[in-house]
Amino acid sequence: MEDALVKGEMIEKEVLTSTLWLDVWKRLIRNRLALLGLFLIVLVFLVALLADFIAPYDPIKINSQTMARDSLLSPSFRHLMGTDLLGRDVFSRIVYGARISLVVGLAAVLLMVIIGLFFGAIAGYYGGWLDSLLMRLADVFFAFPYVLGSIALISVLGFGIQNVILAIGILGWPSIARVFRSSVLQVKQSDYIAAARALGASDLRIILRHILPNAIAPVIVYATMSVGGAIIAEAALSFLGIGVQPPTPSWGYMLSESRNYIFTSPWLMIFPGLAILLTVLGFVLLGDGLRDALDPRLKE
Amino acid sequence: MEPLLKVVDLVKHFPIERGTIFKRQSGVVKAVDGVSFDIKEGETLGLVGESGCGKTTIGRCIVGLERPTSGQIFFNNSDITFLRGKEFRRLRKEIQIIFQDPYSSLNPRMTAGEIISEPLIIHKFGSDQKVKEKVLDLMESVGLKREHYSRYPHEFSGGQRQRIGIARAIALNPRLVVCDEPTSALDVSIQAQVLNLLVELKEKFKLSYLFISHDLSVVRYLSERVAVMYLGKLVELAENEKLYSQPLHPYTQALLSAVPVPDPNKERKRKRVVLKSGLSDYSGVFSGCRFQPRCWKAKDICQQKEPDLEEIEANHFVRCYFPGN
Repeated sequence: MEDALVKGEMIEKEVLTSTLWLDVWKRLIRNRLALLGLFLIVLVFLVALLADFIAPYDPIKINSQTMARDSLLSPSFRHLMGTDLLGRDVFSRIVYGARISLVVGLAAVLLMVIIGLFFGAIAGYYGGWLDSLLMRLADVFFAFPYVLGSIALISVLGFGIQNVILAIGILGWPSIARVFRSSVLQVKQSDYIAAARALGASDLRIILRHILPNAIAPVIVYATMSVGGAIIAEAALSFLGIGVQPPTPSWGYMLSESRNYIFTSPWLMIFPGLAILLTVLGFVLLGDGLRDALDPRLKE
Repeated sequence: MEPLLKVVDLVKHFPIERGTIFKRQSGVVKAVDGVSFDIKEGETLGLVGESGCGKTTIGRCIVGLERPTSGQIFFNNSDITFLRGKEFRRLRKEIQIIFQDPYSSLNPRMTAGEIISEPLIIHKFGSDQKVKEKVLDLMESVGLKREHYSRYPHEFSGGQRQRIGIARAIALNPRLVVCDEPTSALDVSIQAQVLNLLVELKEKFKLSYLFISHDLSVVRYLSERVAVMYLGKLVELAENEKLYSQPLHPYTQALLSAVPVPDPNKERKRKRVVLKSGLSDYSGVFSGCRFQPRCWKAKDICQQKEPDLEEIEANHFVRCYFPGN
């Protein structure tokens, strides 16, 4: 009897401390694919953070004395992923390249989320001609092919990692705005928004306190997946030579360099390609898992 | 004595629009079509009618959630129909609303405490400490426990959620509370508790209610006067006892005859009025009385001209050419 009582209390306590985000977390880690995604992302983060300790060689410096001897070595214990034309260790370059990819991916998505949330909130909350105007503007942005748009923007802004981030962010906001707008439209119908208005809450308060927390979930999912997209965009731009400039190690640029040696030194292509693939996969899987975990219809 | 709230010839039409950029109005729903009534200080006015008759729209117009198409609303003798900005915000302290659905009327990302303190924060009640004390007081008044403060809406039952909604509505000490079917989403066993709570709070905080419902027995329990609405217009308005003992409008009679009697023997023998099916088109043009197509008493005159709302006895208003039996 007493045992049962104690048990009952413990269950009660667990219910008390479980907030909505804790529920989401619990559902997320029950999903194996999402867990794999999370694992990949954490791995890339750790590699990027601890690059100085992980990389066995300098990723940038070219040693003119040993360059000829070390050029295009195939993978071995000394060089796990082989060496490139200039005799640099591919593994070290990939380790440092993780920093570039993550910084560009996260910063670009942050930028597009900020712009997208702002316009999406205005379009969804106020509606009417403002909504029409902003959504047509979004259509204009959608009409640009990603790469072409970036090339145009970068040719205006100039080279450099910050301009790559800017270009990807500016071209990516319309999707976020669309996603957020539609979820704002849905939340706006709720009685608790009417209640807040009846209490005399300002528009800003209603948007920040009531709409944002309830409408943000799809944006979180979309943004997580977009990080992968932004990493690919950076790689594509670097591949084309207008992204991150050498000698800074970027996975995309490494791929670009490997073009001429695909048959003779395939490791130059395989490893940066794998790095991009796994990182992007990580974000996509996590995004997918988040979508399931955040879906209120699955709520028990 | 001047009434606390006075609604004069309130009209709310919703346009039916087609097209996104070039809007064409293809019709209009006359949700509220010229309604007048008043509420005295400390009084409860029941507003009943079938779903879609416009009773909720009236409530929302009074609280300022909808802008009336025409007509006027006076509160405390000042015209509040089209208030904006600061004035509008100040009025929120006086007129509040309790919603029908306790599941969608509470923000699921806020705790009970946060929800109840919101009106206090918006209207700058005082320091965090003062707000919290007030919120705990309010929670006690509506029958919630202190430990409910930091729980989220999904951890409460429907009845408890409605109590949170009620606490939020009375937090600013309003004079008028619009209760928009506050019990119709609740289990029958919980309804009585919430109704008793509303009665208790009315005494304690000197509130006046506009009590909107489709449930005649609920309205009877709470109201001093009852207004019956049909397709956007009042058809009968009378004191509570009068209306229930002597309904004059055929629609009211039909509504009352639909209320089941607890005694099965009486229930079986009782005569019931069964109406012809209702109108599905609320936007249509009426010729004559709007209840006429469903009325068993309809005569030629009913099709030609709509009757006025007339005071047939003292304080008993009816819109019918053939009131009574």
